Amino acid sequence: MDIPAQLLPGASHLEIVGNRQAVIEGVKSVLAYESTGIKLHLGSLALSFEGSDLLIRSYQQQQVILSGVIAALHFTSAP
Amino acid sequence: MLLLRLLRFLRGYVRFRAADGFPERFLNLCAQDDIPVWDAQRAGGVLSGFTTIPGYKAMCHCAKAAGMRLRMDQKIGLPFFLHRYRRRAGMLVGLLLFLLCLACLSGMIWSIEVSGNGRVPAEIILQACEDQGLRIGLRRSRLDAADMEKRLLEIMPQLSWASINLSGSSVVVEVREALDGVSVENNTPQNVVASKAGQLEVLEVYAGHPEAKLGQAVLPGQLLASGAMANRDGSTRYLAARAYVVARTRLELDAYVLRAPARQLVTLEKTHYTLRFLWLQIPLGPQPKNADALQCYVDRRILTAGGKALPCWIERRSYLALTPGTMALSDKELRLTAAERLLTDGWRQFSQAAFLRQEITVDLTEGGCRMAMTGTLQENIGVSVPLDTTAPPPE
Repeated sequence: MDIPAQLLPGASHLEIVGNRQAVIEGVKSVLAYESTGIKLHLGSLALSFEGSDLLIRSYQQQQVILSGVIAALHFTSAP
Repeated sequence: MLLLRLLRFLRGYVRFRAADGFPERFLNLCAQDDIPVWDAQRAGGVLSGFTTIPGYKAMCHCAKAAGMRLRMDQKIGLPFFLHRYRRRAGMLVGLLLFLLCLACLSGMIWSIEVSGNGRVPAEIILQACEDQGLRIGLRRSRLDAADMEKRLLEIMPQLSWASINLSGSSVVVEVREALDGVSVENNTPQNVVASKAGQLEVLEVYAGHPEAKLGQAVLPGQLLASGAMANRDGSTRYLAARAYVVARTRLELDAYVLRAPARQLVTLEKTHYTLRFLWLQIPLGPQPKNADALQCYVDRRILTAGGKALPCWIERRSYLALTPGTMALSDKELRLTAAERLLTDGWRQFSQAAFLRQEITVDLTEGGCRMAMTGTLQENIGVSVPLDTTAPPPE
C-alpha cells in the first residue's frame, strides 16, 4: 500500500523556493542559529542550512520559514 | 502579505533585542509557548526580531530561562499611537467629526458643470437645472437623472439633447443645442422665391421646376423654383420645391448714435460679499439698507482645490442705484459706439453671407454720428413659401 510520506506521523516536510526561501514543517527545535548557518532538529534527523544573510522569518507551531541565500543543506543524524 | 502587515499594524507589535545567553534556546522556548516571533535575526551575538504585544510580555520569562537580556527597541502600530494621544480627546473627537463630515458631504452634489453648449449660456442652463431641483447641496441619492433630463428638455426648447452625468460629487450636464431654421422635411406644396433683390450666381434646384436662370436679376418675391409640375397629360402635380440659390446682393446698413443719449446713470454703488457653503449663507458684511430698491448684479467665484470645484463660493452682489439722465459722448466714443452698433447689426443680419466689397462712411454732426456701410454681398436668398394649389397653374 502506497501511503503518502507526508501522512506518516512525525514526518517532516521541506519546501524550498529557489535558494532564497525554505519552509520546514515538523521542526522540534532550533539547534544553532547564525546568519551563516541554521541547524534544525527534525526528530530523528538534523537539517543544516548554510549560506549568508540567513534569517528566521517565522517560527510557530513546529514550522520554520527561513530566508536568505542558501548555499547548501545537509542531513545528519540528530544529536 | 500586505493584509498580514495591516493586521499586525492594527493589533500593534514591538521590535525586541535579546543579548547574551542562548538565542536558540530562547527561540525554542518561545515556540513552545506559542509566542509569535518573526524576522528573527542574529548578528554579533544579539538576536533581534518582532513579536506581538502579549507575545513580548510572555517572552520575558523565556528570555530569563535562556539567560538573555531582553529589551524593547521599538513600538509599532495603532494601539501605541492611540495610547500616545489618549489624553488628547479633542483630537479623537475632531477626527471623528472629520470622518462624519466627509461621509455626509460625499453624499451630496458639490459642483454642477455644463458642457456642449454654444449659443445657450451655461448660466441659463444652470438656472433651469436649479428650477428643476438640481442644485449644489442636493443629496446624490435624490437625483433622478433620467427624469431631470426629460424635464430639462421640456422647459428648454433650445436644447435637442441633454444628459446628466454624476461622477463622484460632481454633476456634468452635457447638452446639444437645437439647430435654428431646420425644419422637418414635409411634402406640403411650396415654391422657392427670392427674399431679396439681386443677381443670381448659383441656382441648384433639387425638387421642382427652375423658374429663373443664372445671371438673371431677380426682385424680392420673384419665383425661383416652382412646386407646380405639369404632367404630359396636361394635369398638374404639386410638390415641395427645394433649391439652393445664391445671389449677389447690395449691402446697405446704417447706425445712428446720439451725442447725448438717454441712459441710466449710476449714482450709488455698494458691494456685498457672502460666503456660500452648500445651502449655508454667511454674510461677510452688512447689507445695504434699501437693497430691494437697488439694481443688483450677482457674480460668483467658486473655490477650487486641485482643479476641482468645491461646494463653497464667494458671492459678490453689486447694488447700483440708477437714475435716468444723459451723458455726452466724445467724438471717439461716438464713433466706437456707432461702429459697435453697425457691426452688431451686420453680424445679426448677414452672418451667413460673404462680403465681397464694403465701404464705410462716417458722418459726425453736433447731434450725433451716423455710420453707414454699403457694398456687395453674396448670400442665400431662396426662401420657401407655401404654394396655393387652388390657384390655376401658370401658363
